[in-house]
Formats: sequence, C-alpha cells, structure tokens
Amino acid sequence: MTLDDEEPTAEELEEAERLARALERGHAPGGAPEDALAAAALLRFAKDGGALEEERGQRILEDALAGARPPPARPRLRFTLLGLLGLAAAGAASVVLVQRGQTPEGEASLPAPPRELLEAQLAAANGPSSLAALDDETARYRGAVYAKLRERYGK
Amino acid sequence: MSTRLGSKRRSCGIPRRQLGWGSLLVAALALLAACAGSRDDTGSWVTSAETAHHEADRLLAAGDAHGARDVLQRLETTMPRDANGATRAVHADLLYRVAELDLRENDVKGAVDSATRGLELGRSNDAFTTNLLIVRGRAHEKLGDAVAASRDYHDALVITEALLDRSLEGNSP
Repeated sequence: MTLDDEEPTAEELEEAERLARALERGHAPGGAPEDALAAAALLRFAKDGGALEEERGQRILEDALAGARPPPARPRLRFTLLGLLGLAAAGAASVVLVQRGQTPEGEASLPAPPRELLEAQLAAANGPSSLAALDDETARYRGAVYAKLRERYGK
Repeated sequence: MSTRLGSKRRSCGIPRRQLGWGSLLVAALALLAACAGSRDDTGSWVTSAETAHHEADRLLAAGDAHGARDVLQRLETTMPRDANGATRAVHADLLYRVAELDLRENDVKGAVDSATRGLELGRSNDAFTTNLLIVRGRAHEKLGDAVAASRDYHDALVITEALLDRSLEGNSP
C-alpha cells in the first residue's frame, strides 16, 4: 500500500480485513501479513497490555459457538444390535420357509412299505399279472400311512 | 440448526428402535406362519384324501367304478401341485388310484395321463411312485408301446429293489 493512493484497492481492503481479524482472534483465514501483524500487535500491547475486554471475549465466544459443528451423534449400539438381531431372525425364518418347501419332511415319516406290498410290486412289474394283488396290498399300506399321518397332524 | 439425534437415530426414515422391534415381530410372524400354515394345510389334505378313499371304496363295493374315480379325481384336481412330503405322497396315491380306475374302465389314454401327472409331482423312492410307474407301464402295454412300458417297469423295479434292500437291512440282526 502506498500513502499516495486515494482509494484502497480491493486487495488492500482484503489484507486490512485479514489483519483486523488476526489482531482480534489471533489468526485469520488465508493468513495475515506477518510484519504488519507484529507491528499492530506491538501497538495494541503498548495500549492495553494485551488485556481482553469482557465484551470482546463474549463476542469471540459466541462467534466460536455459532461456527462450531455439533459433535457427531454416537449410534446407539443397543438399537443397532436389536435391529441386526431382528434382521438375522427374519433371515432365519426365510431359510426355514424355503427349506420347508424343499425338504420332503413327510416322506421320512411315512411308514416303510410292508414286504407283501413290495413283492406284489415286483410281481406286477415283472409279469402280466393283474393289478388286483397290488391294489389289495396298496390299500393295506394306505391305511397304515393315513394312520401315521393322522397321528402326526392331529386330525 | 443443530440437533442431537441420539435415540431418535433413523435408518431409511424409520427410527432404529422401531426397526429393531419391527424386524423381530416380522420374524416371529414368519416362523409362526411357516409352522402353522404347513401343518394345517397338510392335515386338511390328509383328512380330505382319506374321506375320498373311503367314499371311493364304498362306491366300488356298490359296483360304481366310474363314481369312485370321479370322487378321487375331484379332490385330486384341487390339490396343490408343488407340494412336498406327506401332501405329495397323498396326491401321488390319489392319482395312482385314478389311473388304475381309468385302466379298469378301459380309458387307457386317461390312465397314462393320470399316472404321468402323478409322476410329475416329483419322483421319490417310495411305494407310491412305484405304483404310478407300474400302472403307467400297464397302460403303455395296452397301447402297444412296449418300449415305454419296459422303461416304466424298469424304473419301478429299481425303486422296489432298493426298498426291499432297506427292508432286509432293517430286519437283519
């Protein structure tokens, strides 16, 4: 800056603002000219010994509080775990549903076919015999199967 | 404006606390539905099929093979085709009996169709699958298709032999 200038340039105005802020708060965004800052600080110290006025201190505090970001909220671990547990249980239920649709659960519990039925099946598959014997043996086995299923499903 | 969210933390717009309890509730309901639904359906089908067999027996004893077949087929057409386990076995047995009555009524093509529907429910190493193969083999024979008949008889023998082996193993000391 020269003393001959009538109007300060934009750059000079910005530099002055940074200097004022640096004197006020001890730092300025973009930095302040070190030599000017040192000279201004000396002048101010000579005037009031560096004491901070109460009003100015309050203004600085309010300014700092307004610009401060709220601390990140800590996720509540309990509810996160509860949600994960619920989702895991829902997943397990889905697996059970799918497996129930695929596993032949009833077949394992059906009674084993009696020897007589198996022999009737062998005879029917091996020769041109009538299906009467197969029907009779199947009817007996059917009775046993339904008795077992009634027991299992409580009907 | 700064606010502390704390316990009102949200995930996809839903508070976490509600999301957790909601997930647990859904899981519990799904498990209940899986258990209760399956048991109820199977139990109903078992009861209906047994009643239909008794009615068919009564009609057959009265000499009404056609009526017996209709009773069994009416129930069969309402049964789920994607069932497993007991419901599939019950369904397969119904179709065996329908096919056998078709054959008795000289509806050979109908017998092939009924038995094939039964086998399409899903083959298993059980006596009901064997019966379906045997009755379809008979129908193929009557239609003059010896190759298809042989194939069905062969498949039936494979299952029966396996069941016999298992039966013998069970009786061995």
